[in-house]
This record gives sequence, C-alpha cells and structure tokens, in this order.
Amino acid sequence: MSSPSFDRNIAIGIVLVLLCMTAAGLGSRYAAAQAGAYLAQQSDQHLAAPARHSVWNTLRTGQVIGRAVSARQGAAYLVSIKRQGGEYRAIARSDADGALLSVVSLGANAGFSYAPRLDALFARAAGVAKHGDDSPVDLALKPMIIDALETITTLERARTESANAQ
Amino acid sequence: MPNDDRTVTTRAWTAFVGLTPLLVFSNGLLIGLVLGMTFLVVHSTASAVALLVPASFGQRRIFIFSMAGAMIAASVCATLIRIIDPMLFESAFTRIFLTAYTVPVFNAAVVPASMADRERAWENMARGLGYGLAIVLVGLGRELMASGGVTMAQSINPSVFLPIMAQPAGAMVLLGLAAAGFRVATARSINR
Repeated sequence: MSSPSFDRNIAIGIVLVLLCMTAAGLGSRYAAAQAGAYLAQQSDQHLAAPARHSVWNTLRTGQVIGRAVSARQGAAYLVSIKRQGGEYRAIARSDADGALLSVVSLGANAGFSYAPRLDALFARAAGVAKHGDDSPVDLALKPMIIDALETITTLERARTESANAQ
Repeated sequence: MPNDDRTVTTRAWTAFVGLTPLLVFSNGLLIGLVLGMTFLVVHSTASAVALLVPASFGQRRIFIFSMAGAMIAASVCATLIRIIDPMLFESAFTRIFLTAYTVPVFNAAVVPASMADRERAWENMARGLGYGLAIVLVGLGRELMASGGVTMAQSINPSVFLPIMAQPAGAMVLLGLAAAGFRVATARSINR
C-alpha cells in the first residue's frame, strides 16, 4: 500500500490537532492557577493562620511540591514523601534561613504503614516530639526526611536571596 | 472450538499484561478511579479518532492522529482532575499520562482492517470500559486488602492490614490469583 500524498484534508487534520493542543494547554494553565489558589488557601488553613493570604508557587523539586509565601509570615512548604505503597504529606513552615519552625501533618493514604513513623520523624525535626521514640524503620526513613529538609533550606535561602536582591 | 477460545483468552491476557503498569499504580480506590476513568476516555478517544479520520489518510497517519487525540484526552482529564482536587493531581499526574502509552490504547488507535471490523467498533469501546473497570476494581481490592477498609480521605494514622497489597508486588499477587482463578474456571467449563 503506497503512502497517500499530503493533501488538504491532512493539513486540516493537523490544524485541528494543533487547535486542540492549544485549547488543552490553555485549560491546563487555568487549572494551574485555580490549583495554586486552592493550595495556598489550604496551607493557610492548616497553619491556622487565615490572615496569611499566601501566594502559591509550584516547585516540584525533590519531595517539595510547592510553597505558599506570605509577605509577613514567611514561607510554608508542601512536602510529599512517596514510598512504595503510599504517600505522606505535610506542610512545613520555615524561617528566612530555611530552618524548620513547625510541621503540620496532612496524613497519608490508607494502608501506608510508614505514615506514623514519618509523622514522628517530622515532629522530631521540628522539635515537637520527644527523643527516645525510635523504631528500626527510622533508619530507612530518616534519609528521606533529611533530604526534604535540605531541599526546603536550599529553596528558602534561594527565595530569600532573590527577594533581598530586588 | 477450543482453538478459538484459546486465541480469545490469549488476546484478553495480552491486553491485561499491557495494562500492568496501570494495575501496579492503582493501589487505592481513589487512584483507581482516576486511572480507570482517564483510561476509558483515552481509549475511547483513540478508537473514535481511528474510526472518524478518513481512510485516505493512510494507516500510519491515522495511528499518529489517534495517538495525538489520546494524548490530548489525557491532558484534558489531567486538567479536570487538577481543578477538582489539586492534591490528588499532584500525586497522580505522572501516572495519568501513562494511560496513553499502554498496549490496549495502541491497539485501539490502529485503523480497523476491514468493513466488518469497522462495524464491530463498538466492541472496542466495550473493551475499553471493561479495562477501565478492571483498573478501578484492582484499586478497590488492593486498598481493601492493604488497609482492611475503603476510604477516600487521608488520615494521620491510617489503618494497615496487609501493607504488601498497596505495594507493586500486591498488583502482581492479585494478577497471579486472577490468572489462576481464570484458568480453573476455563478448565471446568471445558470439562463440562
């Protein structure tokens, strides 16, 4: 079967595909804006600070999904730690130097057995949980917590430096 | 006609093997619903475009157009999920786009060879519905076995019953059990 020549119908088909792609892209852009507003509102709500009026930035760097930045109260980072079998989410508030101030756990999906330990490790990193509450599983989970905290520090320092430079 | 039965069975299992990536990712009811519905939309779009594009385009171009349609459909589904639940989108978006790259979608994007195949195109749609339902059911079954219950909400201390079922190995175990069950059922029906 010989390949059909390029005719007007194919050009119309290509134009239609391009139009659909453009419409899908615009829809995606709208959805991103809506999602940003929702996530900023959720962060403010969970940090019990409705007066924050944060602005959302999607980052997707390492285990950090994005940050909600408030002009007066600094940045809060949405962290998602994924392991086989589930995902644990938390909101971490940091100071201008990237040090962890507080963590609010958003929970994990059903059947995710690492969730309680991830919760305890995050709380310990924020200085809330008592030391001595250890588990053999912590050895496997600690590197993920350290990685998330280092990512937050790097991102927050970069944000502060760029804000100071302006 | 045992040979024909075997061919149909082999084709069905080949399609399920092609769905394995989605079955592995579908480890809960919510993610199963997202993947199953996206798969249904993507599969239907691919088969509809393969039918609607004029045959004068040629097989290769029709396949390319169908796949482009499937990818746009996946993008539209992702957009809708992002609007409905941004948190769910953040955990599922890498998996959503995988639906367009599965063997059943590739098969649906191929133009029907004859007029008889074209008239049986509704079967392709029904197949898509069946595969989508299978993805949802696998998600439901795995969540039920992993946690001992079904919930769409996240919790700080989630219930855990058989955690391996939420892991990729759980999908393989379930597929193995389904294959064994299917084999037993087929053997019994042949013996009768």
